[in-house]
Amino acid sequence: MPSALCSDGYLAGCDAQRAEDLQRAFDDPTLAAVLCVRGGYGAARLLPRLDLDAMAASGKLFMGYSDITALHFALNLRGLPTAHSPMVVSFEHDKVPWVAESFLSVLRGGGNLSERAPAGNVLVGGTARGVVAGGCLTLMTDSLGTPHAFDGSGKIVLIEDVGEEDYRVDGNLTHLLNSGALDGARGIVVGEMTGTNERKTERETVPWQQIVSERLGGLGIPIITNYPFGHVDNMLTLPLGIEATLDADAGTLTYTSPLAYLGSE
Amino acid sequence: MKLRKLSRGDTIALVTPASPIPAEKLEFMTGLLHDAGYRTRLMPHAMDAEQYLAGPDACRAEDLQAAFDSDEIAAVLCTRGGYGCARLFPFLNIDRMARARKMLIGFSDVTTLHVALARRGVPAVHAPMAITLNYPREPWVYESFLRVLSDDLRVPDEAPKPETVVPGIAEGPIVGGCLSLLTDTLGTPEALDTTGRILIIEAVDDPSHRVDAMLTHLINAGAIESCAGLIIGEMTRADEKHFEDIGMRPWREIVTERLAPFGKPMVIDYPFGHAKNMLTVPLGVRARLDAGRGDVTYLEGLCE
Repeated sequence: MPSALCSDGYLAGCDAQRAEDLQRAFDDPTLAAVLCVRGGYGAARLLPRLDLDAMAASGKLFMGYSDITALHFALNLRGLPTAHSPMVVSFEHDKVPWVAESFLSVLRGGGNLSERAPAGNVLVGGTARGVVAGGCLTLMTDSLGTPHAFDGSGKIVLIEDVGEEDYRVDGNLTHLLNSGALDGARGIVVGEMTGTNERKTERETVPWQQIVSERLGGLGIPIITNYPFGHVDNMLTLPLGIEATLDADAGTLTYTSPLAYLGSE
Repeated sequence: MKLRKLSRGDTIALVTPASPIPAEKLEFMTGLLHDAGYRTRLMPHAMDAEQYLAGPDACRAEDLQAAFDSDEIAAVLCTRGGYGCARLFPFLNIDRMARARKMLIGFSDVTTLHVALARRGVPAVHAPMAITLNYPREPWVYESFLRVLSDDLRVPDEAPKPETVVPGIAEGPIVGGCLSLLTDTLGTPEALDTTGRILIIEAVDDPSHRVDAMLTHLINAGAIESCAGLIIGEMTRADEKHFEDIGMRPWREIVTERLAPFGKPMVIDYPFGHAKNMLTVPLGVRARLDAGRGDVTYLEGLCE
């Protein structure tokens, strides 16, 4: 899109330009899907400038993750399924073959080939079925109290993050808990809190797995961790806004409804 | 609502509701309070330490609640912030704390509790803590602190004036504190309510894109539109903390770009919070911000 390579500090050009590109990509009948090249920061600034209802009504596949989480919520809230997927910058580093295979399969309206990727680790056993929602933890909490807030009720909730210190992982999980956004959640799929355990501080860092277990382990719903999505080296593409079954004992997330949103497929 | 008056001879409880503090870092604050004629009482778990928390949630909450519940204690001073107050809600009776009408003195992570008290119309004190006063500060820092404890709300003349961003006059109770703690309340039952209030904001160690993200969160939640005025402190070290792969902009530019368009009377670099030298700011009492002159004055007292 015209402004896709603009740069201004930590933003890829001004809000008006970025919003115009995004809106036009959804509005233009010659474009079939919208792929974000990068996250970073800035999607939440666009929300007041976008016609989100028109974007959702377009029925187009929207792909990305990390900062893009803010847009996934707004679109999922309006009934448009989207895909939590690697972006252009994600492929700058070598990946195992199933990363691109999963991405391309979802792009073509097929399954996400999760059977080719490693399973997650069980934290709380059991099975659950629900609509998949969530993404980057910091962006999930940044949505709370706004018109585009994340709501985990009835959902299989995806949670992952990058570069956060241990106490901020705790703070963000506590924010989700205090807001009630996890009330009624059916299950939780934690990816990785990438870089958290490696952060150097004046004291010993608390491993994120311990924090996740302590904060979420008592919710009474199935939970897995280290599921391969998000900021990990190799990531699955995970459709959002459609149903899946979490088998926590097996460490698997299996989509139960087709990716019908590509229409003809 | 007014707080109970704090008099010489009264006892101030020292609590550690969030991250731990070593005992030697209490010495200056206890000396300052004793010299001013107050007694202090170290609560039982105030020296506990467990990773980034000062002991289990139940114990930290027990200390805090007991300090508010005890008839022998007149005010409650937090020794340190860090992280942990938001974890205490399931363990606290905030309504009972509010009815005690005691000064809750602190800032940073304590913002979470200040916001909860503000929702109940209870004033509080945004002030340096025991850990804060381990470093030498300008004389007006101590003067401001001790004045507010004795309900003298005059701002010392030596304190530097803030810069005008949007001139104008706003009146209302002051609410707010540390930016990341303010946004951490949004969407919860103890959420920040800025309606008709003057919002104070400062932060520490957040990279510039996070300062932007958190201001955007406040904007998207409607908290800026509904406030009466804005007093911005310092986003301490924001300009040094940027992530190389994300990039940066100076924090003053971000704050001005995001908040000035709302047209609320607004100043920046008001000396409070994590700045090198900080005023003690009474929260929840009617204040007057003259943004053009950079003056903040109080229209009523903190105590009955």
